[in-house]
Amino acid sequence: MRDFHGLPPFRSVTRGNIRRTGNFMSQEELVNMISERAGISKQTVREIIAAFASIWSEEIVSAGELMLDDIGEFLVEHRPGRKGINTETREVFVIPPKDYLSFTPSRELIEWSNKAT
Amino acid sequence: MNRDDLLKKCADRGVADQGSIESVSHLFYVYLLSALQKGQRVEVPNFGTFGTRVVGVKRARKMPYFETEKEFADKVNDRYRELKYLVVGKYELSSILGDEEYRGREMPHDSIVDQLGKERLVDTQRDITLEEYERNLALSQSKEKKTMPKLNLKGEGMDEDLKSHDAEEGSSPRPMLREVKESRGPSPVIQAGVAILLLGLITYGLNHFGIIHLWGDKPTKAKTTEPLAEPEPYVPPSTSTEPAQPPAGDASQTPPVTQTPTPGTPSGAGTKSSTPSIREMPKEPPTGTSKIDLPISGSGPYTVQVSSWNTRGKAEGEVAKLTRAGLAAFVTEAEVAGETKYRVRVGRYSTEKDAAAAATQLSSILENGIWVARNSQ
Repeated sequence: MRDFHGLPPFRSVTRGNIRRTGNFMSQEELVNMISERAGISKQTVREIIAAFASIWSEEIVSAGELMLDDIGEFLVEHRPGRKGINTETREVFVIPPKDYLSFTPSRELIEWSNKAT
Repeated sequence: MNRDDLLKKCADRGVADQGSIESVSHLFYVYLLSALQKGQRVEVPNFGTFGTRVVGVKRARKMPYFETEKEFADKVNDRYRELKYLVVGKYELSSILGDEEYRGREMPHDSIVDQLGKERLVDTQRDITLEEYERNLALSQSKEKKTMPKLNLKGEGMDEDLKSHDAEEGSSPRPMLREVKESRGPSPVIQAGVAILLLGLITYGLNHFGIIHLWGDKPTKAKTTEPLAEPEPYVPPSTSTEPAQPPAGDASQTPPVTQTPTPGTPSGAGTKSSTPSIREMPKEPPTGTSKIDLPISGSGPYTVQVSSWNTRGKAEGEVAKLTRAGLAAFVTEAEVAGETKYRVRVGRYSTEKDAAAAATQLSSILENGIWVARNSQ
């Protein structure tokens, strides 16, 4: 069964020059918790998660979409270029087209995020 | 992608054994859910960040989102990665009123084509082939563009001359060519106002010179035969043989021996007003004549002059009317400024006081007669 003990407390994390405030679970904390929980070394956990990320990203770049049953759906979408005006300087510029990644969360993810703790 | 596919692919890479990969994937999912429930964000290296944000107003709820990491987003946007914001032109003020005019290159995205080549712009999302795109481009270029009036707004080709000119003149701004509408006359409101003024002036003039009658006194024909109102302060008595000298005590009041009511007198006994009344008087004598107590006929140096005429016939006509009214009227001749005047006079009085009293009574009667005569018509 799922167990949610040992979650990090509410705090801020400083990464580099940027100070990110609010609830944030950093990469190290995630790795630490998983390694503690599963009884695997941190290095292997880190490598496994990196392998997941690389597999997902390669799938997204090659196929243009990624369906994760538990988490949700990733889809590469296209935004055509258009004209824009800077209202202060009245300059007209071309906003180039762009491919971006959209994420549709799964129903379970939405339910869990709205559940009372 | 199924969970099994993911595990198989990860095992193929030889990162770790299958059991640890399974447990890590399960724990990753569990911690992700718990973190989102707590409102925390979860970062996955080289991939992105999962988090929640509040969505909706009436039914506010948390919605999970995914924020791609920048390197990965660049990988996804590989086709257009080199494209940047490109300033094509600028809107500049063309008048004081705030009208703006676009100055710069033409807007379409062939600027991007120039920068990067045609293949970059082909829209794969719509499945447009390169040939189709080129055909469309050729079609759009073959269309005739609207010709604008040739105005050298930017001052191209004249730069050197103008620059030298500016350098000489100093701070004076460069004159700009512009299309100017032909100036029409004054506004219709002003035109209408001028027309109304002219109309009013014309009507006033016509009325003033008697061509039409809209207001004021109605011009009567009697005015054409109006007797000359000559101011005669001193008139000798009709009988020139008799001495006109007043007594010594009245030497200072010599002039008004004969009562000649001048037109300017406020009593209204002027010859102007009295003469037309006599002419239009009814044949029956007015009742006011009985009121005259003083003798209207007799002998004496003083008389009352009623009117004076240029011709004898008119004067005699007046006398006839007066006699018909019961007054002793007669005509005398006199020369004034080389012209003979025929004066109509009434009565003879021995003293100046009597004459004055008779004159006032006569004037009142004659004045009344005017009104009676007019009402009876």
